[in-house]
Amino acid sequence: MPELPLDFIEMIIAAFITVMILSYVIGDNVLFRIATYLFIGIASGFAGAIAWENIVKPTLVQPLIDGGLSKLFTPEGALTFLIPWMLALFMLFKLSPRLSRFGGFPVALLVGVGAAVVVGGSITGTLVPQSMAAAGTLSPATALPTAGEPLSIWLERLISALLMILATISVLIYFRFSAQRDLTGGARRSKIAEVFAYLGQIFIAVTFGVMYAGALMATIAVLAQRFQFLHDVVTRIVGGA
Amino acid sequence: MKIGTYLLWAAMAVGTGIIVLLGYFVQIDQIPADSLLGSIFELRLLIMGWAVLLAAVALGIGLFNMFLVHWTKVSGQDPGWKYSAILIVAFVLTLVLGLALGPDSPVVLFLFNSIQLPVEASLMALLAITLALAGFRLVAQRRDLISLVFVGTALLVLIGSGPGVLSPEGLFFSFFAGLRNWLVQVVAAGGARGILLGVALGSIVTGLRVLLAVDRPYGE
Repeated sequence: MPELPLDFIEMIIAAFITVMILSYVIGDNVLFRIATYLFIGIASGFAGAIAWENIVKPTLVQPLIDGGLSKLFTPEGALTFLIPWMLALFMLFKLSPRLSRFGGFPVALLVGVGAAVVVGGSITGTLVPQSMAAAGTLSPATALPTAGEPLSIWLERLISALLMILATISVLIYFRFSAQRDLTGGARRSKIAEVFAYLGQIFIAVTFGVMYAGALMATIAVLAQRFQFLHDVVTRIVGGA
Repeated sequence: MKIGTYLLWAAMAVGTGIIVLLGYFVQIDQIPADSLLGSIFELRLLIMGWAVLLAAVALGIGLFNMFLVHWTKVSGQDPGWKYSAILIVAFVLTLVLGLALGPDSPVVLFLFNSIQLPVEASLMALLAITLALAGFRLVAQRRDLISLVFVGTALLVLIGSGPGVLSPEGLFFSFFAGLRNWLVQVVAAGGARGILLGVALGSIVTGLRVLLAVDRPYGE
């Protein structure tokens, strides 16, 4: 009996798994559930192995193997080795309901660093660049007509720029960062703010409509690729592996 | 004891958070490394390393908890225990192989390529059907202006993008292609910028509430 190549076995399993997942089209069924539970198990195991190999082992275990316990008693060793060990051990207290309050200490560090990264990242990565881009939309360099430019082209560009600014501002007004509460608990704002907020809702609907169409086109391409893959597998089986 | 630990945790969160946050706004290369401020910024890298380690340990705790939940289901033969058994076998097998041979060994990569990759791609493919159905349901069940704008925009973008729907030549196609470009590059870009700014402002406020210890999601 001829030996099957590994990539062929891999392809056959992948094809079975693909059919199992796509069977969800006819409704929730046993095959779909088996495939998803299998996926969660493998993905979790893979994530655990990567976390161990790339983070936990080089930080907590490898220095101990390389330098021994003597490394603990140096100031550098305490910072890079002893404190991480203690933090990790305290974190493990979260597993016990009785001792879980001691696990709050490393969680506080994690939350503090996470909050700082979120604030710093939002300011430098989104707030400043997007505000600058919005301001640049109506800067004289882009909003004024250039030499020899036809009036219709300039007007089109100006209207587009104004519409873009209007969309950004009205969406921000819709988000209601500050509004007084009325007796029913809803937001109480002026009539003009209400009009802009409604306009913002329409702009959000347009934005989500564009995103929806983009997602639909991308997923249809993936669906076609999956069918192509199944076709290739069947062709290879019929043609002989 | 309770107030003491609570203050300690709040101080830990605020202190580490401020040190990390300062790193975003101070030009570190301008500060002498042997000064006090230089040492604080050295500490920033160390704190970030500890946070990454703690995130990995938290992932381990989460995985252990997931294992326990499914183990309890299997041992109690609760409804759906057979699926939990499949999950446990797949999890333990992948984890043991990953720890013993390394996550980039051929055996683990075989599991990844033959199961994880096709499941991810197929779930994404399934999303095409789910999205299309959700669009139809929206039209059938909610017929207000916002829903109509949403569906109408999506249809216009699809017509303007797909060469399969209309002939890629002629005035009709160029009109829809132009309309699609205008919708994507002007209206949706402005709206997306507003959404991004709104999300950023919300994230900043939430983060600052944690950094000022107004919100304390780390315990008592």
